[in-house]
Amino acid sequence: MTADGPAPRPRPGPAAPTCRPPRPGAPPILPVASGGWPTEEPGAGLDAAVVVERAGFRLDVTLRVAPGETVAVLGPNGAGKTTLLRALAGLVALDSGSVRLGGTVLADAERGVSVPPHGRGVGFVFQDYLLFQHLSALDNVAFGCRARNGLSRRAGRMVARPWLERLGLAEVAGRRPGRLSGGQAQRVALARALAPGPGLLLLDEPLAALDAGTRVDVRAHLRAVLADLAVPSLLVTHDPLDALTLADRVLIVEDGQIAQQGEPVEIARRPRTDYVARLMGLTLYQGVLRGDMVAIDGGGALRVRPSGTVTNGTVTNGTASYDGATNDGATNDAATNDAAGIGEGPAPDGRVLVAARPAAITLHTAMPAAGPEAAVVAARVAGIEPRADGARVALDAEPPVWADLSAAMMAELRLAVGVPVWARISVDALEVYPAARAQDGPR
Amino acid sequence: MSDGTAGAAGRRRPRPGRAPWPLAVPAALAAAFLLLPLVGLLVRAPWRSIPSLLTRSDVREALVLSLETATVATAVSTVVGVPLAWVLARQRIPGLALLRALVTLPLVLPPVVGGVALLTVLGRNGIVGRYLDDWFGVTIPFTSAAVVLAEIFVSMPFLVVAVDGALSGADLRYEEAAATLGAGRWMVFRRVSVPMIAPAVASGAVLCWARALGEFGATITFAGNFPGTTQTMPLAVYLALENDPGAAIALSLVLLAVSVAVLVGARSAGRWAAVRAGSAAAAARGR
Repeated sequence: MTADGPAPRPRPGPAAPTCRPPRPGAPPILPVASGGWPTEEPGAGLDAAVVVERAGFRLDVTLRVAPGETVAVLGPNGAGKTTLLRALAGLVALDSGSVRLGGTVLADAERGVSVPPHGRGVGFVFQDYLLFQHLSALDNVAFGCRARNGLSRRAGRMVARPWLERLGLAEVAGRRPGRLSGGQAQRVALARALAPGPGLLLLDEPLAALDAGTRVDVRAHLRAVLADLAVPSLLVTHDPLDALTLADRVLIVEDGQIAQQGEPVEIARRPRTDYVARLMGLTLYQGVLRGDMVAIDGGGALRVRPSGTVTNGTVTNGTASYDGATNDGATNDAATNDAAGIGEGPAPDGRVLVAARPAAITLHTAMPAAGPEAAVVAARVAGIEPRADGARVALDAEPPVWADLSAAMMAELRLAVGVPVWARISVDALEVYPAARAQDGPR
Repeated sequence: MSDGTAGAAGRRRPRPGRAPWPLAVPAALAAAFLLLPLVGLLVRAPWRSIPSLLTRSDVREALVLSLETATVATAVSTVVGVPLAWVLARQRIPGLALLRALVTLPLVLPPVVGGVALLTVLGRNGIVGRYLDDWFGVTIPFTSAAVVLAEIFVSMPFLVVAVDGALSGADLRYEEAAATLGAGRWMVFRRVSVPMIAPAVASGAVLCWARALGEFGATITFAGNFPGTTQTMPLAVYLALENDPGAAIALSLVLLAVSVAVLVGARSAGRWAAVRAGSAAAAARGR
């Protein structure tokens, strides 16, 4: 072992990673509350501004991750999630920006600094495991300790074995990767990344290659490991469930940019992009809020619970100002007029996003009473997508509406494409929030 | 073939039908052409005299020299050829494509030309050999070392091509995974790349050794034909053909036996590796 005096050059690795067995009895590190950045301490955590340019693509993401915090990076294919991780690990060069970990500069494009991957002390878990085929599970886990800390074969195995045990792999320690199941292989890969004591853990779609049953199991292991981890971790995924259940904070990356970030609850309830809304099973509208009506951009309006500070009490109710006309145009004119009429009052107003829960929207063959707490929209069935327990019905209306119906409801309504129906959109089905980002979430 | 369905009932892959005659006839001709000479050797071999032939000292010398030089040539080819293949496969240096073409040139070059070329470099008046002679008193041509050099020249490209192909086809991300675990480039090469390409190195080495064992043209040009020092088996066969055709056939049989043994050994080793890898892959898929 090297003396841990003042490290002169970032040669041996910034966080001075040392191989250590897992801490069995150690209390789990509490996930740092949202916002993630407890103090101004510059020495702790990951602080990165990553810019990578490719032909026709630019990744530009700034992020901070506190020690012990897990940030999920969620985004569509090709958004740059994996490139982000690879840049942090030093496998891809930065075109601009910098990466700091625990106060050590791992990369700084302006100064031309870039610590090579093997000197960064960063653990990387790959989607398809990438276990070394010629080594047993135990020797795979020991690899990092032997490479980074120069341990002997025996010493490396002594560090590796508790990690395998911790992840429930003791009985497969001697197996080659080819004789491991997918779930076992990914747990070995996790142990391999953790054993050398990385200063940062990067997980690239660690559950994507696993089947549903195995995924539950590995996710549980992953959650336990992440809860106990004292270093920052980044989890790339395109599965919202992973992001919401494993992460303290979620970062949405689209087209190389951060589209949204926040706590899982925030992301799940208040999506800012169509992509996020779709992931969360919501329908997203943009529009202008006046009083309790939102004029939707594409046409149409939705009644919402008057948000926040303002409501103009005079808006008693607009009781479905739609005259039962089947003529869509007429209906929408009425709705728009209505919204405009109501909007006299001072506004909490301005541009808002409205997230609708399709499950809370009901369909009716006869026009239902709207009441003060709902809007009723005339619609026509545009498509029916069968689901496990019913169907999602796409409705041609202004605005377009999606409703999730149970199998029983589907049978009762006898819906088919082209059938006219009424959609009742309760205010409870809608979440309204400002379109402008107040502050870009916790940074 | 009509009853193929019964046999194929449990099989997923359909059995191909009978070969059409425009394929079957040339195929049979080709097979006959390749096999008949071997049959000829076996038929005409002076089986009785083979035991006494093998105990003859000049034959034993030639055989031992052949095996030794081919083995040394293969060892040297591996030690320098694998790094060369790595450079060809992994480095981005201008002119690398040209280098790759030139390195594989000996594959297609007539070996005699190779021998002449070696003489121009390492001959007593060659551009390098002159100084070796002047300064160190070292003369390479017409020594056993010359035999080894001639064999390396013609056989190393086989190994380089095999390993270059394996390295180019290997999944780089394993090496990246090793790097994130703290392994520097040399360690990555030693502990990850080499195990990954080991089968290619082995099969390349077998090809290399077989080619070295049979080397004739470059050897006789550059190393001459001195019994005991430079007369390898192929040279001995050629020489014997002039005054003792029976001996030539017998020596040829010996070379044939050695070649077949190597081929069978390499095949079964390769199959063993394939079976191991295959069962591993199947197990990984199945679970």
